[in-house]
Amino acid sequence: MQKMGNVSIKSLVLITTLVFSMAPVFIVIYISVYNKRKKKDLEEKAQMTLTFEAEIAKAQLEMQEQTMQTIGADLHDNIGQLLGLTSLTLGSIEEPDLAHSQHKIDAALDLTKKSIKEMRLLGKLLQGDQLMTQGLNEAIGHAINWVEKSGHYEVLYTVEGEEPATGDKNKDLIVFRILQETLNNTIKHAYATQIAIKLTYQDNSLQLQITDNGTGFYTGSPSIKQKGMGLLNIHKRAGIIGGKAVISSNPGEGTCTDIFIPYP
Amino acid sequence: MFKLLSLNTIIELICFLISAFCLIKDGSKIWKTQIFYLAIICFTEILGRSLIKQMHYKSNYWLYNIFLVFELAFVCSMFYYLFQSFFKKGKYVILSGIILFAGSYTYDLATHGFWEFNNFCNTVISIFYCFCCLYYFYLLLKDERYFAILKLAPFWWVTGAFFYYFGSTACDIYFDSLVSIQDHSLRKIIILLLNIILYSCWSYSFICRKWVTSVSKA
Repeated sequence: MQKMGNVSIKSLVLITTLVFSMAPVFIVIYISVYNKRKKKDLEEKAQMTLTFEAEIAKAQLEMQEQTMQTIGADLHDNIGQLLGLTSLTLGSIEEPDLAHSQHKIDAALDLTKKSIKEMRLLGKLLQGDQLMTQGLNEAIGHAINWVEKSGHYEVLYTVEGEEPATGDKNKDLIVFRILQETLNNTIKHAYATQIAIKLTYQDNSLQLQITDNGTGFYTGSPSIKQKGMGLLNIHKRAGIIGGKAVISSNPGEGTCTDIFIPYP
Repeated sequence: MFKLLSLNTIIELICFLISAFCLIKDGSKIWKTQIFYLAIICFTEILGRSLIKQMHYKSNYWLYNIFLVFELAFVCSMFYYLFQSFFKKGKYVILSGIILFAGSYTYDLATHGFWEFNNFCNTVISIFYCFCCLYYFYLLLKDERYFAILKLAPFWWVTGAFFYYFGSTACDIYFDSLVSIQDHSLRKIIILLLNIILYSCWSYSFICRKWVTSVSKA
């Protein structure tokens, strides 16, 4: 009887010890598996950061390209014309007719002043990299100036809400690139005459709405999806900073692009 | 001389030698103290056997009662050091362990005096060590950083301690019953196996500490 009791105590101790020894094994396995998953998550996160940084770099490059295109067009169409006209005016001055010459000199002076003004505007554009340092609102102002200068568009720009004191320069840059992309689309394809831009700062979010009265298009049309790399870029860029883009349009009804971004 | 060496003592001595080789130039005081702690373990084991085999004492429990204090001092210091790398309030966890130990140790002494083994205290503090191990694992999982745990010295130190203290809980709980049946063979085998796991893990952690410990920051 005593022996039976001894055996049962020993069995109890043995079984309990075995069970208690199994627990650490499972815990160690669990930690190992969980840790591997953590490593995978961190790698994915690092990859996302790389993609984000690449996108920022691309946006900066595109902004510079856009600036150079604007400068090229301005030099050719505006300043080149003004200086050519100035040269012609000065060349047509004849010495004996001083009264008439004075009129031509005044005209040449006027043209030179206009050229200087245009050069100053170009100078501002050349500082494109610094454009974003003045804030999103200021940068949008510059983009609107450039659109309005063509004389083909009437642009209405409104800002609602207070711009946060501490913004996010990367987000500003992406939002600005989306705006440039949208304006490019409007200019190239929409044949619009009016463009309305509305920037709204809300609690922890930002909304940018760009509306035009152009020809519009079927958003679901396969040809748009195939050709519309610009639209794809807008969606991709909004997504990369945690936001979304909603593009609504119909033929003959213009286009409305809404960008929602968590901000700052 | 060989009478004083058992398989347990040999394993402990090997671990002590590995710790001396790997940790002697370690930059951390607590890891260096590990050498001293293992020396105390070896000394206690050899003296314990010597008391019975050579000096013919009836019991060596009093020696292990003294050892419990050294064990508490070192294990708590190590956990305090390990918790520090995750959060700064680890001292409260350690303080609660010390209070638990003091209370249970006093209870044991009041119940049966100094010459019997303080098994209640040993059981309580072993459970506390298990809690510390689990808490360390929890902090490790919660941390955003990725740890290469295969080469992480603290992880293997805690794993060894967890195997030993958790695995020996059954023996601690049924200690009185095992003593009463006058058969120590099962307890000896269990403790031997747990010791092998404990000192293997610890030796590996010392090797990791010397050569390969790494952590990647998120």
